[in-house]
Amino acid sequence: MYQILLAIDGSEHSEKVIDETITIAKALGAEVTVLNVTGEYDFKSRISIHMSDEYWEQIRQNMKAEGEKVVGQAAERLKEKGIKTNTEVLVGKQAPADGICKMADKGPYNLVILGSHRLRGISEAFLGSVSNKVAHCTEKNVLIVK
Amino acid sequence: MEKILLAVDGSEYTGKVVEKGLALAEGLNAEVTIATVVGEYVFSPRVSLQFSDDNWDRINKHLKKEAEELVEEAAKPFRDRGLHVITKAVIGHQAPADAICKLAGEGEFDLIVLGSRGLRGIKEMFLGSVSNKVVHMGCTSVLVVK
Repeated sequence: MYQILLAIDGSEHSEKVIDETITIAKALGAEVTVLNVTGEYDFKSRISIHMSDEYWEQIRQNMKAEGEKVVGQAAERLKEKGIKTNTEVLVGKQAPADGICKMADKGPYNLVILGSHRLRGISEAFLGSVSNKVAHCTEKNVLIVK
Repeated sequence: MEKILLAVDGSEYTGKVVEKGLALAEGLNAEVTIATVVGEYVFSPRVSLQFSDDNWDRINKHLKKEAEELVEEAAKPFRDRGLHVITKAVIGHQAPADAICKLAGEGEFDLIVLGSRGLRGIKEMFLGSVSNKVVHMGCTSVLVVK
C-alpha cells in the first residue's frame, strides 16, 4: 500500500496541507502517518542552559501533549474520509526538518507531504525553510503544499 | 488539485515524473500538461558569443524539435490510456526554473511535478538546481520526485 508521511505543525496552513493530503491519499489509495516534530530547538541555547532538568522534563511532556493534539485532530479529519491513519509525535533535540527526514527515511514511506509556510523569523531567510530542507535531506518523494 | 504541470527534461527522472503524473491524473481526474524548457541557457556565455544569428536560428530550431519529441514521448503513456494531455515545448532565454514557474502561474496550475535532479545532475550534489529553485520560488505546490 502507498504510504504517505504527513508532517504538520498545527499552524493555520496545516489545514490546507491536510486537505491536499486527503485528495492525494484518496487518489492513490494511500495510508497516512501524521507526524509532528517538536522539541528543544524551540528554545535558544542561552535560555535552555538555565533550565533545570525537572523543568525540561515538564516542558517535554507539555510539548508531547501539544503534538499529540495536533496530530490527533489531523488524524480525525483523515479518518472521517475513510483514510487509514496513524500518528507519531517526535520530541527531541533535532531541528524539525531533521526529525522529518529521519522518520521519512527509516519508514516505509513513498511520499512526504508538508506545507511551504513554516517561517521562523529572520533566521529562516538565511537558513531556508523547513520544507526546503526536507526536500534536500530525505531520499523520498516530497510534496510541498503552497 | 485539478491542473497538474509535469516538467520533464529527458533525464532518467522523466520516467518517474510521468509515472507519478499518471497515478495522480487517474486518481484525481486531473488535467495534465507536460512541459519541457530549453533554450540558450544550455550554452555558456563564452560559447554563445561566438554564434552568428543564423547559427542561433538553426540551434533554436533543433532544440525546439528535440523538445517537441521529448514531450510527445512523455505524453504517450497518457494517450495510451485514453487520458487527455497537453504538451508544451518552451524555447527561450530564461532559466528553466523561471520558465516553469511562469508557466505554472499563467496556466493557474495547482501542482508542479518534477524530478529532483536532471540532465545537469553531475555538478548537483543534492537537489538539482532547477528543482531547488522551483521549490525556493514557491510559485505553487511542488512534488519533487526522487
